[in-house]
Amino acid sequence: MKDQRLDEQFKEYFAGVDIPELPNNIVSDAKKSVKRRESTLPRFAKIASIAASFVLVFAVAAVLIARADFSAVAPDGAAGDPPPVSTYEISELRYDEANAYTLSKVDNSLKFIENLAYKSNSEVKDAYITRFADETTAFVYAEVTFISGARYDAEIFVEYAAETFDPLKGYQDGAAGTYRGLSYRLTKEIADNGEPVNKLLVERGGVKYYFNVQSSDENSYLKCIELLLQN
Amino acid sequence: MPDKQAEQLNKLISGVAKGVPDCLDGIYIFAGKRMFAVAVSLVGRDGAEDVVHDSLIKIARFAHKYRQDENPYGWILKIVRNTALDLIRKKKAHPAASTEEFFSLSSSDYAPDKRDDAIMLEQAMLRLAHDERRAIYLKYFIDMTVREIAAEMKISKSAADRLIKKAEENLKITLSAGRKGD
Repeated sequence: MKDQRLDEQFKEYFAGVDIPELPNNIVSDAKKSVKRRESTLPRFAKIASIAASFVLVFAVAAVLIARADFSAVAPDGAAGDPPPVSTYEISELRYDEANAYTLSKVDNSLKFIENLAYKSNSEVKDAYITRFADETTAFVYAEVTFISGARYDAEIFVEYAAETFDPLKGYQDGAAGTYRGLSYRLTKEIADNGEPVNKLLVERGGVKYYFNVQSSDENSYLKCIELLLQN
Repeated sequence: MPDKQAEQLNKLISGVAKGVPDCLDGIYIFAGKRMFAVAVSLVGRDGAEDVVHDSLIKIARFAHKYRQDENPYGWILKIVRNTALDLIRKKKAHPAASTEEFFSLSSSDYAPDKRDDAIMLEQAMLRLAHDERRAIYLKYFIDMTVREIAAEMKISKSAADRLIKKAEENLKITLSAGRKGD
């Protein structure tokens, strides 16, 4: 409890602090950092919609290619190609908002996201559980930010379905690696603002963990694996 | 701080969190001087402007993490303090930590009677023992709680409580002696 009389005196003192002429842009720069609210449609659903439009374009292209006669040059059965990834679309799912503070009740593999919700240096902005029509869980999505030496903005998908959510299938093409005993696939990209983006896929205990993390830390994927190891 | 002002500041932070950039102007109007004062106390006048600038950016980024039951000044000034300490770490410099410099901010813009009060307060602060001055600084300028002050000064909560009370008493005695001497 502050001493009221002293508090009053200090307030008067602050009111008269001799502040220099600060540049006019001192607030305007900060205004650029204010995050404008977007619609409530989950981010992954928006991404999925965009991905779906690509799928459509790709499908048309595939039909055109299939109509062309490549039989003279195509090897039999294209031996050696990986089997096509079996996927599902956003239209097959329904999604419900999830409480980030109780995610471990959904499945213990989500404990690391729950931990981020409780920590003071991190935040879980959105969390959703997606389910198929038969009520089985497809994946859990969370949008998180955490500070650990640098700022990390990550979208996390924890997928329980045997098939792959279509917008995530590209993760499997990432470069293979191992860190602290965990095998992973990693794709490195650059965001529009020039910041590195790491797209990481780790499979552990029959669950697929996808991280799309943007940070000034070029090796942000290591932080994500460490999060998983703390699970 | 009058509750009304805290309420307004709360609304402004919440406005920034909801994506209304103009609320930052209000935050700067309410808290700009204190932000600057705290920055000066840590990095000196030369670096203070950068610290205020960067702190406003952090306020914009992290407004959504602000809890409405927090002390808004405390929240803002903690950001300023951490930003200043980050700058010090980056430059590998020592903090200006000159509570002395901090206590020489009284403006010539004060009304004459207020200016006397301000100078008296500065003088009274400088007469306190170093740890007392620091405790007062953390409580009245940074708006830290006793628990936070204890952690900051690496002493027990009860020791921090005793130190603050002693500092407040000494400050009041000096101020009252100063008034009698007028």
